[in-house]
Amino acid sequence: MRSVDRLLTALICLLLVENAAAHGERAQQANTRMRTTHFYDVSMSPTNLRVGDTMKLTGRFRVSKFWPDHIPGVEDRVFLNIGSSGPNFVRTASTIDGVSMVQSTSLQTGRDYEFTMDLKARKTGRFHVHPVLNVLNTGTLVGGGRWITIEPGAQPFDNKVETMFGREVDLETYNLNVVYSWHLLWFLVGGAWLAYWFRRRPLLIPRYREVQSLEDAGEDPDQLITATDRKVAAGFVAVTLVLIIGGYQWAEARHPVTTPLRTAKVDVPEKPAPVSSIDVKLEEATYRIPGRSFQMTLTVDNHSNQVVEVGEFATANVRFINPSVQSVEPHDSHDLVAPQGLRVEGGPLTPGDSHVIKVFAEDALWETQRLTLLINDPDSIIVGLLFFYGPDGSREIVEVGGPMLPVFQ
Amino acid sequence: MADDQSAIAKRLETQIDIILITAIVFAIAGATAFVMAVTMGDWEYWVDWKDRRFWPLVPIGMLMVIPAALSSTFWVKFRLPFAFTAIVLCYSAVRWLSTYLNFHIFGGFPISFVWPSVYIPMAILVDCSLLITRSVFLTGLTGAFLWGALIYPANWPMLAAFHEPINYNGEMLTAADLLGYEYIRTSLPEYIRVVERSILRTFGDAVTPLTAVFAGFLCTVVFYLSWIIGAIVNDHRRWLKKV
Repeated sequence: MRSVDRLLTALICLLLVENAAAHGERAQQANTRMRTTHFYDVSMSPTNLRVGDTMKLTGRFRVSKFWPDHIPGVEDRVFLNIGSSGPNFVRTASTIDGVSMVQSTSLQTGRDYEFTMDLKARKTGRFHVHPVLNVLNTGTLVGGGRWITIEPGAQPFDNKVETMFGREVDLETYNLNVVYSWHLLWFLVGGAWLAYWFRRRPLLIPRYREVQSLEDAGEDPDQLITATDRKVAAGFVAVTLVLIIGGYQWAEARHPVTTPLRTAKVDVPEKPAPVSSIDVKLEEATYRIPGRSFQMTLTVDNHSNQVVEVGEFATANVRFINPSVQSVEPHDSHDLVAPQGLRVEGGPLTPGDSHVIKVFAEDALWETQRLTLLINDPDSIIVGLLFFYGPDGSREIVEVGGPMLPVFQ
Repeated sequence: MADDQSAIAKRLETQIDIILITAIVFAIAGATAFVMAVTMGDWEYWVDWKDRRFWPLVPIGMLMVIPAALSSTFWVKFRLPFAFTAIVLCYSAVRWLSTYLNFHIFGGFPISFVWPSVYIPMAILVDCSLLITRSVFLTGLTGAFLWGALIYPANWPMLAAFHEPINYNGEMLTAADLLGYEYIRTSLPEYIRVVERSILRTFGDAVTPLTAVFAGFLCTVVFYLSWIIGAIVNDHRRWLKKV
């Protein structure tokens, strides 16, 4: 009895679970997460809303210039999407660089893109939401996530749109009465055909014996099919064809203008690669496994007209922050920010300065985000974005990458 | 005494009927649902996959295999022409169960986005063709051809509304496209749909009739092949000895 109670309790707990803890964002190989797309400036607002309210998701991403040759790139087909545990929202609009992303598009490597999405809350619960990019023949590239809480709204959720013929429809229940009615009708007709045969009981064994005895006697078992059977079958054929043709004509009369599914690709205007006034060359990158310490030795040339210093290193959605430059706190328990995670030796770079700096990114996030598994990947290439800040708060983003050498002891 | 024994035998045979038919039909319907799910599930699940070129061709061709093979058994051994209707009816019931429980309750999608296709009328036509012609060859030419050719008109009463155009932020979409865009499927982006795209290989704008004729031809071929597979399985004495 106790085991039954436990089983029921476990089942009830399973039914009550509403949160999805993750969407496989750590499942992909570390080096492919670092070398494909860098999401940054991801913002979702508000994070607490009611059913029917709209949340704005904005952000930017850079398509890595270190994109692996063997992985199909973004030049073919890309779709801006949401990582969420089901349709908890409906997406009412989405753009990349201001172009509507109802359809898929193609992008260029080494470019920065700005995206927006309007998401209307549909289901109550607490959900972890990510922006994602689906890339044809490659898979899903996941951006940074936020926990979003949706509470019940004043009205039940509906999703009304107007067709081009002025008919207002609710997509939640659109045409359902017609779908149910036709399915029910065909279940009844099909059931009637089966009922015609199953009215004879017993059916199988006597029928099998009759077929066998006729065959043994050298006669044709087809004589078991009676004239009535044929007439009934002809009737079913007639009724079925009349219903199909009649239904088709009825639908044509009801919806005289229809269009095929849309599959065109939209174009995001091409743009030149970002011009940087700071040149960065990766001399050496090591990861000391016992201390969870990542270190880069960089030669930096500052061609800008102001003093700059490294304020952040971001890779695979993890942000290592230099606390001496800026203060950034995680938005929630799963915001991948290491507020004290970045240390820089070599100091700020004055205009025209060129020297070697050492950047240390140290935090348990290397482990928890499975980035240390880079040493198990076929390519131990590390890539990330370095954020340089000027004294006026201006920002310049430089992508840096190269081979990483693990230090085991 | 003899009457009593006859009554007992009749009751026993009726019970065997119920057990055997229920077991066979539901096992086969379950197997059919599984085969359909792993081979062409998306055309069945999503309304924005129900296009004019692939949806009227691939699912109906795949669904032909198991009913045709089992129809062979029911016709040769029992002269009973209801295997198509029985399997498709049970498959449709399984699909509705899956639509409601998996996609609507668990997945959270509106049923208007994930309703299953109708196959029952075409199944009736195949069974009736077999009965009327009493010929496998002629059933392949008539019933199996209609099985493939009529899926589009048989489903059009339900599907037409989803192909009504909508002006969405200055872009023309069908209601089906809009459902696909608005209701989020993280790992099923728009481009991954295997649906009709603009190509030069067209015959005027007659996409649907051409697909219907080709689907009919394909289903005729699949019907014959599946019937042969069923006939081989029927000859169990020979292959069981080999095993």
